[in-house]
Order: sequence, then structure tokens, then C-alpha cells
Amino acid sequence: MSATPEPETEEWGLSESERQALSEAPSPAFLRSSRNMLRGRHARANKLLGWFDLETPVGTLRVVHDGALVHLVTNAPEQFEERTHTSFGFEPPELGAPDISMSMRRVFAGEAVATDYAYLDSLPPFQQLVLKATARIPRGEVRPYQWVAREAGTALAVRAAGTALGHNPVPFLVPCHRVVRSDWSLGKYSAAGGPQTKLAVLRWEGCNIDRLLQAEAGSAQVVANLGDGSFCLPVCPFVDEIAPGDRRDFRRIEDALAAGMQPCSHCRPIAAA
Amino acid sequence: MDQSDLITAARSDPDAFGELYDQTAPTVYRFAYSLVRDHHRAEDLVSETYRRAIDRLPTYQDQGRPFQAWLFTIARNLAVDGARRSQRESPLLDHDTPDDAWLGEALARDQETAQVRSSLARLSDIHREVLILRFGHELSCRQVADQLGKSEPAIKQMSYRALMRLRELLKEDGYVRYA
Repeated sequence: MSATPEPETEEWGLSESERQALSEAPSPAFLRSSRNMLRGRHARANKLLGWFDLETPVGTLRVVHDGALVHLVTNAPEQFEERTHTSFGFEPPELGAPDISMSMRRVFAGEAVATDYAYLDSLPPFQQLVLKATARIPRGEVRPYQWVAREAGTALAVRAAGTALGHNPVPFLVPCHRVVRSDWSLGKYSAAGGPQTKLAVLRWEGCNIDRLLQAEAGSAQVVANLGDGSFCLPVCPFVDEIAPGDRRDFRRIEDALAAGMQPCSHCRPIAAA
Repeated sequence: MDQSDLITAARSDPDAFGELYDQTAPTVYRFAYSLVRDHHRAEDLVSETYRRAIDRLPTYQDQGRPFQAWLFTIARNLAVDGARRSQRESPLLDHDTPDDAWLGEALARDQETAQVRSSLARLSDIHREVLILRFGHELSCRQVADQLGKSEPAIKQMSYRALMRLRELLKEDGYVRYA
């Protein structure tokens, strides 16, 4: 970055009308997110929702959308009527949306972010934060519930994070299947098929299941690479790159830190400073 | 499409509703802010106002009153209800201008600010965001950086550039101070 000479703020000399115009203006980011929220609400109020089926390697997904955003995903079409009545008060008609199925395929391929296509604004704020944090887990990887709670800004609310994920209205799209228990066992899955479906989705995404099973069998909370002095969650893909003699398992994160190891910036085993 | 067609379309078409929102929300926000004098509360108030507007649009009747005044009235009623519930002082406009006249009066009162506002609208989204958050909502560089997912030095640099850019635009637009 080039060094533009920058005087202190007080010397920037904002005129009274500049100050006034800025102080009563809405933040553009607020306007955008509020517009999305209202658009989805408008579509719901006017019953302008529709559904289509999307074929995937893990079965058929039924997708409810408003023409721009996805409101519901389910792999249990037999419960569709009940689900939609509970969520929307009516059952939407079949309505194809090629743009949305394309976007969803891009999200599944790891080329787009789920939260840009999911309507989450009807959910409680905490649940939105949890789902947004979950959407940041890379394709083909997993993270523990604790990690999600921490990334959502509420490290202590692990149980609440689990509940929020269990009520994810758009599973598969917002990847709650990438969240596992802190002993690295798979944990529950709310979509039809339970943990078996969870495993199938992870396999489809190219997740290294052996690494996950190894993590579950071992007792390490983190794994250090003595070669470069970093430590990772045992499910981090960078664990595979540790030379055999350089690997050291730590039962506790504190021990890795005490040994002078630095947290991996990819899997973020501890909160970013 | 003129505004009354847009209002009719917005009852059932989410895209038309989005368009109507884009046209009116910045002004409704200013009105809301003049009532509650707090940005968090103004944001909540604006979202709530449009939520109610969605519910009421089907029965909205054009009575020759500006559409924005209809939104202002919704916002004012919500603000008064909110204040009553939380036992805060009831929000009022500076000098009790009727909702229908607020826009005109506010404009006449402050031509210069209106000029800045229209030049501000020509800035890029990110420059506008940085200026508004830093100097309008008085957040620190750190807070703006966190909110926008950028580094603190980047925000410092960007605020300076954004302000310089705004002043170029003001000059182009014939703003009296920089003419």
C-alpha cells in the first residue's frame, strides 16, 4: 500500500453540512441487508414462493425459493406439506428456478457462499450468526460445534449453537453437516437419514473420512507440526502435510501454546487475535 | 413506471417492492433518525416500518398525499409506540412539522446538506460506507475495519481517499464551499 500522507481526522475540516449529511445517512450495508430481508418477507406474505427438486449425488433435494433466495431445503418430500405449513402457513406450488439451481450447484462446488443465496432473516439473530459461521467452513472439511459457537461470537453457547444448527431451514445449502462433536465423532444430523446422510454428504464433498476417523480414535485436541511450529485441529487438511517425524499430538490447546506453537490460520484452532 | 404504478405493482411483485424500497428508504431513514437520534434504533425503525408497509400495501389508497409521507406516519407511530413501551421520552420532530411537509421543510432548511447528500450518492458503495460509518456514525477505524472485514490501516487510507473523492464530486456539482 502506498503511503498517502494522511492528516489527523480533526484537521480534515469537515464542513457543517458535510457532517450533517453524513450523520443522518443510512449505512449502505444496512440498506442492502434490510432490502433482502424485506424482499423475502414480501414474497412470503404474498405467497410468492415456489419449489423445485434438485438432483444431487446424495438424493433429491426439494428447494423452496422466492425467485432470488432459498427459504427451505429438505430431503424428505413426504413431510413437505407439513413442513411448509409450519414454516409458511401454506404449501407453495411447483416453480422451477434455473438461476437458483445453478447458484446452489456453485455453492455445492465451493465456488459461491451459501449465505448469499439463503433467506435467513426470518430466523433469530443468534441462529443467523451460527449459520453464517457454518457457511465459512470450507467444502470437504469439518469443524467442531465449539468452533462454530466461537466463530459466531458466543464461545460459551455451544449447546445453543447445536440447537441452532439442528433447526437449520436450509440444510445441504448452509453446510450444517460439516459440524461434528468435539470428540470428532459425527454427531447428529437433522435431515432425513440422520448421521448416514451426514456421512454421505461429507463423502460427496471429498472430505477425508479416514482423517476424521483417526481424529476420533486419537485423543488429541490439536496436532502440532514441529517442522514449522504451527498447530492445527486434527481434521485440518494441513495435518496430512506434516512429515512423520514432525508430528506431535497435544491433548490440550494450552499445552501446544505453552510449547511455543502458533495456531494454524486455515483451521483457526483458537480465536483470531 | 411512475411512482403510483410502482406502488400498485409492489403489492404483489417483490422486485417492484425492492425498487420502491430503493427509492424511498434513504429518506425514510433520515426521517427515522430525526425521530430517534440513534443509528441502531433508526435501522430497526426503518426495517419495522417497511415490514408494516408490506402488510398494509394491499389496502393503501392514493389520496394525493406523497407516498413517503405515508411511510413517515407509519415510522412515527412505531417510534411513539416503542417509546411508550420503554418509557422513553416520546420522539418528536425538531419543530413538529407535519409528516407530509417534513420533506419539503427539511429541504428548504438545508440546501447545502442536500447538495452534499446528492454528491455522496455518487460515491462508490465502499467509500460511502466508510465515510458514513466513520464520520457520520462516529465509529473508530477499528470498529469500521471489523464491520467491513478489512484492516485498520486500510480503513484509514480509504477514509482519506473517500473524503478527497467526495470533495472532487462536490466541486463538480458546484457545491458552494469548494466552487
